[in-house]
Amino acid sequence: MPESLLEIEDLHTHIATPRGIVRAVDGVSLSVARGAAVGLVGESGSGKSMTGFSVLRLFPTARARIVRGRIRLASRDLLALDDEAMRRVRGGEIAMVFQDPATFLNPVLPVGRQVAEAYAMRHGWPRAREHAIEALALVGLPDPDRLYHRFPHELSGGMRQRVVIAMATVCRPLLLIADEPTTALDVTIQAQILDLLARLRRELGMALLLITHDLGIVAEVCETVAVMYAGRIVESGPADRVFAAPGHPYTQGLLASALSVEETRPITRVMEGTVPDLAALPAGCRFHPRCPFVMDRCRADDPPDLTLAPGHVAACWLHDAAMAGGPAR
Amino acid sequence: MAAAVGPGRGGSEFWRRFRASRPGVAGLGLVILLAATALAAPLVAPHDPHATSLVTLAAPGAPGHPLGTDNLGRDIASGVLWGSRASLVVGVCAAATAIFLGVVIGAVAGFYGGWVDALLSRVTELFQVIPRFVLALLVVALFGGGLGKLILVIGVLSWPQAARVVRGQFLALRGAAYVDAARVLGLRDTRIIFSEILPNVLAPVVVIASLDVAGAILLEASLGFFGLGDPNLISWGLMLNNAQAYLRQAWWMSVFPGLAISLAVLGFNLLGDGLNDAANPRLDA
Amino acid sequence: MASGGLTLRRYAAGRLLQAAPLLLGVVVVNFLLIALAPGDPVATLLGEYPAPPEYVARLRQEFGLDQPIPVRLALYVWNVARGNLGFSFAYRLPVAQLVVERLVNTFLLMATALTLAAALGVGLGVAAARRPGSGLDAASTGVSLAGYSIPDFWLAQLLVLLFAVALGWLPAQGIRSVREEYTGLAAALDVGRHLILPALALSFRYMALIARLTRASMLEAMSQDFILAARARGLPERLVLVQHGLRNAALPVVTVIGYNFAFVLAGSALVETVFGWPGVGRLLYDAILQRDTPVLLGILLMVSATVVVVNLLVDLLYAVLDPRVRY
Repeated sequence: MPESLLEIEDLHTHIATPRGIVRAVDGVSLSVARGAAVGLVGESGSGKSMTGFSVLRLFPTARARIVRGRIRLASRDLLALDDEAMRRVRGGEIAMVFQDPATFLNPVLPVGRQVAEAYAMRHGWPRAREHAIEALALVGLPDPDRLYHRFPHELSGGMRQRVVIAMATVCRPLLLIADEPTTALDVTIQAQILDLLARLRRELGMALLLITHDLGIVAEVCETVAVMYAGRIVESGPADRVFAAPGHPYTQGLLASALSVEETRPITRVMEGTVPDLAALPAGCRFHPRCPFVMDRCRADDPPDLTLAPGHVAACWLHDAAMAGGPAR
Repeated sequence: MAAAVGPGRGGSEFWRRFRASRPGVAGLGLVILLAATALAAPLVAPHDPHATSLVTLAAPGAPGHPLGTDNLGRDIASGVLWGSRASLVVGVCAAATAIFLGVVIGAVAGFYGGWVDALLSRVTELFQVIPRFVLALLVVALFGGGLGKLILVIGVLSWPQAARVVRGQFLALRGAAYVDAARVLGLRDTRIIFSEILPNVLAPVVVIASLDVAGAILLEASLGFFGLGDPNLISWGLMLNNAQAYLRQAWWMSVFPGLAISLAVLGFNLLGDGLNDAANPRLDA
Repeated sequence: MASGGLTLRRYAAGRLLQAAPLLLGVVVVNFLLIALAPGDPVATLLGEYPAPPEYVARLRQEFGLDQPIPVRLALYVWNVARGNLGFSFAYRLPVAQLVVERLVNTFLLMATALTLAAALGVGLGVAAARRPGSGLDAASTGVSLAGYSIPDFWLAQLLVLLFAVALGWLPAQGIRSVREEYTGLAAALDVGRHLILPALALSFRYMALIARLTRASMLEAMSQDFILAARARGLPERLVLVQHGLRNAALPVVTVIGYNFAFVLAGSALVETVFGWPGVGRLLYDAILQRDTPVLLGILLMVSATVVVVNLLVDLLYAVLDPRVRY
């Protein structure tokens, strides 16, 4: 059993909105082993990105707040760190890659400078330049010496995403959080970026938390997968097992839609309905309004995590030992 | 005033949003105060503002002179009250001139494009580099500055902003479906410009009109401060020009007229902000 | 990338070519004023100051005042191009020389005021944008409104009343002390003391403008994704604010500062008058009192030309600051 790097326990992150409190992350527990690749899957609005941001303790909106839970990185309690210490963790031990490289790069600074910044603030400028050029080379960008001085608008989308990845990896983080890193890219470029992430993981020995709505990507890159629905992880386990024998009806739906030929908005086509309003969750199991196997019990009680096989758990009453008779209609 | 020109479709909605804007309501209050002062000046002013007396440079609080007197013994309070007339008349008439010119020129340039538009752009650029105040000064110095000329000069020098905005709106709207429909129906260009497109660009024009009044009041005061303008008018700017030589003896000659200018300009600026809030509702507070 | 300097140079040359017709336009406006002014154009070109008849004859000939309008326009343009803006008999100096001498003092005042306005305005705008809705933000909104509404010449009078008349801290008139003979550093400090109040009066309106604009621009910049990315890299907040926020927010601010140069010049005319600052503005005031029209015309021309040049420089600065500008 490899040593655990990131441990999230019972994490709750809320967003205060005019409509009320949105429970974006509502009791998530997740662990990432050193050097492992974990996929966090779900529809948009499932809270998967907010889980990633919670680990950095950094949110796109000032209205979001971690209200409960524990996040430990290499047995250090991240939620207990003061702001200054947490800032040093960002870009140091934990780095993040975002969805759209076009908007996540500062348009008026040369890309090399942006790559170098995180290193420079820890080790000073002269060495940071060299490291930035090295990082640009490592992500497979040609002619990094000259590329250092170019501006984001002069690069293609794929090159920009490589720059963003170089920016994140310049300090050799222990954990890279990648939030939909290929969604904004062409299909051919997507494959290249996924290869790059897999290679960097091997070469730098870093762990990868891959946040995506795309099961295909997870199957390609990750050994472990966690499926998120409405702020909670509903199923997790070894990727091959989960894909071969999904335990939660939601995962089953996701897989079924991923297998369907066209997949623009796959989930809603196979499963009725959408992710519920996180400010007004249904009672009982939060998936029950969309579940094809819904039972009376699902409407009343929230199911706990039930073990299907070693390391494979699903939060669904179908797997309750008391119901061992198999799914009922 | 704002209610009467409530732009095109949804005027009452416009008015409702305007009332929700605190700067707008405060501005409207100041503007109404200014208008009331201008109307009531003959009734409430304690003295004839032109009348000199032997009580020169009396400090505020002197008997019969709540705000003091100037170097010729003229009552400051009466001057401040009567001065609102010149400011309001010049401000509103000059802004109306500027808006009229700006709307016509901007509409023509935006609707037809081509060389008309190119010419307009050059002229607008020219007006951007020639300091408005210096040119106004020169024109008044060369041509003389009665009330009518003053209004004309300030108005003519202030049209480019309205023209730019109207031009932009017309450029955006001239390809709109309902404009095409009007063309197909064979409506004349003037009819399309004034009845079909113009009502839809009124909101930004109303905002600029309010800001133009503020600018015109400020410009009139500046010219007055340089001793230019209509010598027969009681003007706050002229009062400040007069105060300059007596700063060491009579602070009140400067403070009260200056305060009056600032409040009048502030009123129209706030009104403009409020109209802008009503015309461009923003989601964030 | 090696061609970066070259393209910038080509862009500059292109912009310079665009500025030429603008300058010509300014000259034509001047000419129209002379041609349309009531009375004898000689009087307009001369002012109401007694001049020797030989000079009047020379003016008639140089500016072709007996010729038809197009010839007169051509001659006027030609004279201006040669730097011949006429002669001021009030000062017994060529107008061009007179205006240039005064422009130096005006630039000293304007540069100080603009620096002050930019420093305070950007500072206030950034502080307000960091905490929208805070007391500081409300204060900055109040300052902006005051700046837009208070005439700068009245503010100048208020400053005189407070700091010169009531407190006696600072001089109210002129550019240097008349009674003392300062040299070297003491002279510079003396000018500095005289500079404080006029610079303050002139800067207030522009500080307000810059603060309002910086606030809006900064709020916009700080909501961008790359700010989140910069924070995710663990950059200190100060660096995020300046390198990533302000660096982007500065672009529209620079443009507006540049394009308002004409208004700062006009404002300085009024403020100079209050403080007896021997700049172009004061010259303008005196020229109006003395009906010295050649000086008025010369000032309009040279001030407008200065604005054209400054706008050109601002465009170039923008091109340097924003790598996305396509030359």
